Amino acid sequence: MSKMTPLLEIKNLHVHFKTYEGELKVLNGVDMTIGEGEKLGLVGETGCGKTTTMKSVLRILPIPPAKISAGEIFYQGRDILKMKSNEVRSFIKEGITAIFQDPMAALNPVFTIGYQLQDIIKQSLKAQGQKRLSKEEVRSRAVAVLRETDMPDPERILRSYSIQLSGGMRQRVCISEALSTVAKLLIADEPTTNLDVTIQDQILRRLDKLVLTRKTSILFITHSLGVIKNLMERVCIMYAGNIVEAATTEDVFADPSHPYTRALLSTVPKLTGQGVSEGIQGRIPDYLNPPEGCRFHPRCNKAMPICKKESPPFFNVGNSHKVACFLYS
Amino acid sequence: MPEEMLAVKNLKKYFVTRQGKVRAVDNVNFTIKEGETFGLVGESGSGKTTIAHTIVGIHQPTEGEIFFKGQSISKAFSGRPKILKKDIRIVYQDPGSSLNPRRSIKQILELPLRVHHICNSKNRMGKIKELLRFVELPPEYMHKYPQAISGGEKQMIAIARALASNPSFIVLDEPTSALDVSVQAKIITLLMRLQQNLKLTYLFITHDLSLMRNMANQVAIMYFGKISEVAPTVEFFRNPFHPYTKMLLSSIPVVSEEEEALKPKTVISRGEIPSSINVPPGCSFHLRCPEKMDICSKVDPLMTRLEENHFVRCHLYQEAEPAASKI
Repeated sequence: MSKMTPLLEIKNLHVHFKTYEGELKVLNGVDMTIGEGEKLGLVGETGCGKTTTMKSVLRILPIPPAKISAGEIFYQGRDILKMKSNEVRSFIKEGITAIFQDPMAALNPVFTIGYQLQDIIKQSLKAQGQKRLSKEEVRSRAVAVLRETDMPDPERILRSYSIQLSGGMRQRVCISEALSTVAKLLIADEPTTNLDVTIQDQILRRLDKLVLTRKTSILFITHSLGVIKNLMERVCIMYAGNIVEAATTEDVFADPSHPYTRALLSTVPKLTGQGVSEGIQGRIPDYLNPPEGCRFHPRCNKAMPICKKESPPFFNVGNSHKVACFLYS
Repeated sequence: MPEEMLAVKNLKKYFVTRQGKVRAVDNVNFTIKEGETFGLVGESGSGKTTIAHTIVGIHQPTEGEIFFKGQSISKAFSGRPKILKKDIRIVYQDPGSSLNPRRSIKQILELPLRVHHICNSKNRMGKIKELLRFVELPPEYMHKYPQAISGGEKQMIAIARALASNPSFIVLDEPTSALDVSVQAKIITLLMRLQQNLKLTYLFITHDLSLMRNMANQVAIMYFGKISEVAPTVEFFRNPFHPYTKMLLSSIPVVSEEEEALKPKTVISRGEIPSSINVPPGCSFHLRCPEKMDICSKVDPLMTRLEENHFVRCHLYQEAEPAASKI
């Protein structure tokens, strides 16, 4: 691991969901750390628990049906999961901010963008214990923060409602909202999946630049490996509620070690055009009765007898390159 | 020489709204040869789906004509002969909403068999099993309902439904954009295998250029209701001409160094698709174009042939021979 002090540390997180049919064992011991100013990518397929992890960190997981059955989440050395709800508000909501996948759902359609953005700015000032600003000052801050995200004509945007904006502009508003706080950690949950490539490119460049100037840490959740490669320093690959591989971006792409990572990389269509691979056999396990041992073994082409019995711990395969697979024991 | 399967000539589709006229498709020309996969790429709102819907007959063209196997088919869906509906099928983007949640898979697959009299009622079960085998699903699936299966499997059922009437031409409207890459790989392999075995012709719509590189024989880039560049796939990726194509190619996130080398040098993308009602005069791309000239904001460029089968609609290449009518 790097010398950076961990800003966020997730230890052995287990999250289960109670349903009519039984208990869904979704997160199965997630371990992850984010250093200060670090850019970490979290990759995985639909339903592997990326968003559940994010929601646990933000303490917005609906409990019940969800149940955190084990694990700890340390943010700046304090266990988030043990905090009371009033503490959560002041501590987490100021320190951690998030951008969600669907900006339409994240913005309130009955208030103007200006109202929502200025509200956040005022709340953020209050939380920092600074004195209140006049209306004009708050407004000029809102304009400034919109301008930072390359928004054309910010004055007009402040007067409009979210439905009047395009998808790219809405997402930029969400980024502006996230940036108008003094958060140390930004969690971006697939912020560009609904956008076109050119717009995605613009937003990512902007986000990258802003994060760099503010020295914010970022946890970038996505299923697009290409985006990760261009932006992130370190990557965690997630499969069925487990982190299966964690390494620097270069290592993951140059030397993917876990069979799942390899299979995933081979399914990405390439510009070089050598055809598309067959995909991965089988499907994501049923969380009601997840397979014993390593959760990937029914789909793994290198499965050994031990994989069916024990779940693999992390093995070091290189400098800060960890793989949860018995092939490396 | 493969035969011409589908030809679109000067196709226009306008929608009248309260705010004004939306030129969803504006003077589009292309031809698709038999057994080929023709790729249509563009950002959302560029008119890809409108073209697809016009071809299958959901919309009637405002102007222009569509020829299918030499015969004009520019009629609305209700006026189309049944044989055409049997021959041209479509797979939609979101399998969650294109399959009726209250019908079992068997009922879903049975309907086209009954409507088009593909087989008599005795053989119907056998045919449904065969369709499920085509898309590599076990026959037990016919008793399931769409909500009980995963997104990828739903899309497989949608493909099986399209195949039920033995079509020769299938429109694939972003069939994998709602799915994960590993599932996408499975569906694309399946589609390519089916194309070979059943001699199908595809119109493949997507916004993923890397996928297009592996799937299509010909690629057309759409921007704002117009085609800005058409070329055979290999040529298209080796030698893109239009500034918009370069911008698109340079903004694809890729996973390997070899791919990085293939991308044109970085064109920073800026701006967004303009509003479809207040169309900018001249070339619709000039607001975002890094190589904009004075003429671009005044005159709309014509389609120009630059190489065999490579056409570009841009003032930068306008001095070459104009070929508006040729494709």
